[in-house]
Amino acid sequence: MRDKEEPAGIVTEKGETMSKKTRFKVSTSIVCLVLLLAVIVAGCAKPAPTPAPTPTPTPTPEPVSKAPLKLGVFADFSGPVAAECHAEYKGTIDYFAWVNDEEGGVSGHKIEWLWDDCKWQIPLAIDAYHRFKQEGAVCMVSWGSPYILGTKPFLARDKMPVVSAANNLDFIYGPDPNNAWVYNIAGVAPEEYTTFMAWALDQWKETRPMRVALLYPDNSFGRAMLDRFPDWAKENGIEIVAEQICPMMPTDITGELTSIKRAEPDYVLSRFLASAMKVVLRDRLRVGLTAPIVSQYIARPFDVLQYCTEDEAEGMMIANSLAEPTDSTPAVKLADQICRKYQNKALLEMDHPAHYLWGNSAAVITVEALRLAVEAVGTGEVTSEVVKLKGFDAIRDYDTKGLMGSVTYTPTDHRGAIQYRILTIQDNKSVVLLDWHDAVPIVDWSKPAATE
Amino acid sequence: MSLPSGTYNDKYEKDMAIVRTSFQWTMLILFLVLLFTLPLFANIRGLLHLTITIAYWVVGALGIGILTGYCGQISIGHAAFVAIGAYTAAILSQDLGFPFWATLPFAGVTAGLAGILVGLPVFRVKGFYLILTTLAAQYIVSHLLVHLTSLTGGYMGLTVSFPKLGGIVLDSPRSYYYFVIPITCLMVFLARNITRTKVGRAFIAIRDNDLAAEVMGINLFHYKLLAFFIGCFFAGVGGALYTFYAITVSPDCFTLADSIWYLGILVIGGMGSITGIIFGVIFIKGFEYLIYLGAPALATAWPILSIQQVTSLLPICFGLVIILFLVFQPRGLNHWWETLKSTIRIWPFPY
Repeated sequence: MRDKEEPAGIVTEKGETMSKKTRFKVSTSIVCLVLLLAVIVAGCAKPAPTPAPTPTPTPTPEPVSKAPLKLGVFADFSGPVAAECHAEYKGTIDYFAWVNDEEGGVSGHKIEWLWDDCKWQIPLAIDAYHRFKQEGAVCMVSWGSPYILGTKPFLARDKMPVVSAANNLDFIYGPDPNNAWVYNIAGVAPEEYTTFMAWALDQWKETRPMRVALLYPDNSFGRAMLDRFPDWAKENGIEIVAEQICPMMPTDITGELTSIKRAEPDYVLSRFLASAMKVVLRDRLRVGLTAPIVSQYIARPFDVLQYCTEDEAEGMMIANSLAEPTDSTPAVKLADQICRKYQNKALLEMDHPAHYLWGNSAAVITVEALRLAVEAVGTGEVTSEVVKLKGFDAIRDYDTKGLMGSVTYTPTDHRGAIQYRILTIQDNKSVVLLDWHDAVPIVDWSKPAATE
Repeated sequence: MSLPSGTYNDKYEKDMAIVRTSFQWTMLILFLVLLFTLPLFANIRGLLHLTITIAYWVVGALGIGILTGYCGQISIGHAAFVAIGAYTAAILSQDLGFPFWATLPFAGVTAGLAGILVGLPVFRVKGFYLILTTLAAQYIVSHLLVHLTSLTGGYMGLTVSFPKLGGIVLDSPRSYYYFVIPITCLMVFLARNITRTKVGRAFIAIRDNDLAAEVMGINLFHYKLLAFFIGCFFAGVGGALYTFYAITVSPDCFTLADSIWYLGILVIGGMGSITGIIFGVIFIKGFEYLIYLGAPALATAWPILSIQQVTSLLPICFGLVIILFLVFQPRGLNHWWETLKSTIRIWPFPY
């Protein structure tokens, strides 16, 4: 493939021939430039508005099959939280499948879910978000803090509601207009600890101030427990005597726990996944730390016990917003049925049954919002904005039948279920220390954050 | 530059031209037309996103290409400099009201200066010790991003407004595409030219044998620091391009894993080649995209494979590909490309 060049040895003199070549090059370049500019302008231009359909005077007959409702699901099949979040994904889509199969969908609309493995990475979540939106999703379901962090800036613009199992306070509270589109399932992270500490203060007999230590991974998940909690603790006479940071999935934290032990706390407030919590519980025995380790919704007793040997978990405490897989409430029984149908095994035989339930809870709330939205618009189109305004925003005292507390969303409060149980582990079983009761609020949820 | 048979450089201008023959010009123009018209027919799911991702990764990878591929200074903290550029762009545009396009050079310079700071130990250390120094930079930057809350927004990071260019709001992948692609082309052109200058030749001399380079009069400390500055400048611009695409930056976006991906790109694409860097990014991101597209289908077609196994193909294959390249083709994809071009040039008479 030989290019057309001057033959070797022939010197091209400057003259008419060269001028023609130059003119050709210049005009070709100009044409290309103009073409490129035209393409750019065409590409950046807003699409022409679609004319509104002319309303028909006669009512349209009920369609045989209604349009499916598409949902986007940010999944974690690989990455640091894959073990737990995979179970959550199964819990969610199994519930959607059950609604489709047993109830014929949401008021006749089948649920379709799109998913992407986002690997706990923000860029992948952003990509997935754009795809879900492009493919017509009317709502999204997310378990990871990075996914909300990445997609939040787009929510208000796109009028896209997101159900968030990541219970960061900043996702739903603050002046950011995007917060109005995020709906937590069950409370916010710092209130897990305020609720626990309020109970602990009730039990407190000493005259000295209570001393607590904080132990968490240095990321959006771990630091979520700190949102306003130190101020709350100070106001309530609690001393934070140690604060240690460790990896999200630690292998050895004896160093951190030794430092905590030296500070002599009464409780160690921690925030880890169940698999990582095993390391915390193991190493506290190594260093002889006797203060109870306090956990939260993501490391529930049943899951933690699956990882622990002998009495490693003995005395651990949890402020938990969700039912235990061993509970016998209607919702847990239903989850067991769904699990048997779609996973061919009982709930308690699952790898992470508590996370399966957590996935169920995200789906339950989503389906309820969809149901309200469909009922509100009748035969009209169910858009993502409708799902928010007529769906999520209309949920009041929704009874989850023992899956968690009742769910209410108000314009200023998107926490969802805000009832907690205080549990402890005794003889490798979870024991209820305090049954369902309301969270101790860390902010005034009746007022918008901007007016504070 | 190897030229087709019968093509000679009889003028200095011809010798220095990047695009040398009319065939190269034709291919370049066709490529650019294809590139700029891609959004008009790219209806395949995620393809536009993939192209934008490749674009800003190419800019970032050009940095490590110059630093490691050309100058031989291995950096395992490249994502940290991308982060510095990304945060600089976010802070300048959001807090100080800079137009988004104006933040790009500042992002590059800030990252470049940070690179000089991290590169200072090159005066005394090299090889494994330098790797550890840059690894430390990765952790230090990550730590600062989380803890300098008033500046960086802590773990929540920073959110910027959608970029505006004139009256056009670049709030969709399609519109942003037309901003990011010309910048990427410009940066590739810049990188290509840097490697052809006196500086570029000094980098190559240092990489090949730093003692010999010093004997020849090359100031090692000066040029190594310059390599850090240039490499991190590109990283910073890449970070800024990411910021205005993602609209949000947080510490979770720039991890050690990303730094390793950057090195992997060099290994796969081929060190010491600008084209190789582009190939490396396209390979890695394209493969990621194929997994992304194919995983649901694979998991459905082969239920015996769990979804987790299918979606884990990327890291598994990434490791495998790196090993295979190191064993069988250490000069990377670029070497294959050069071999292919040579083969075509002399076809059909390969003797």
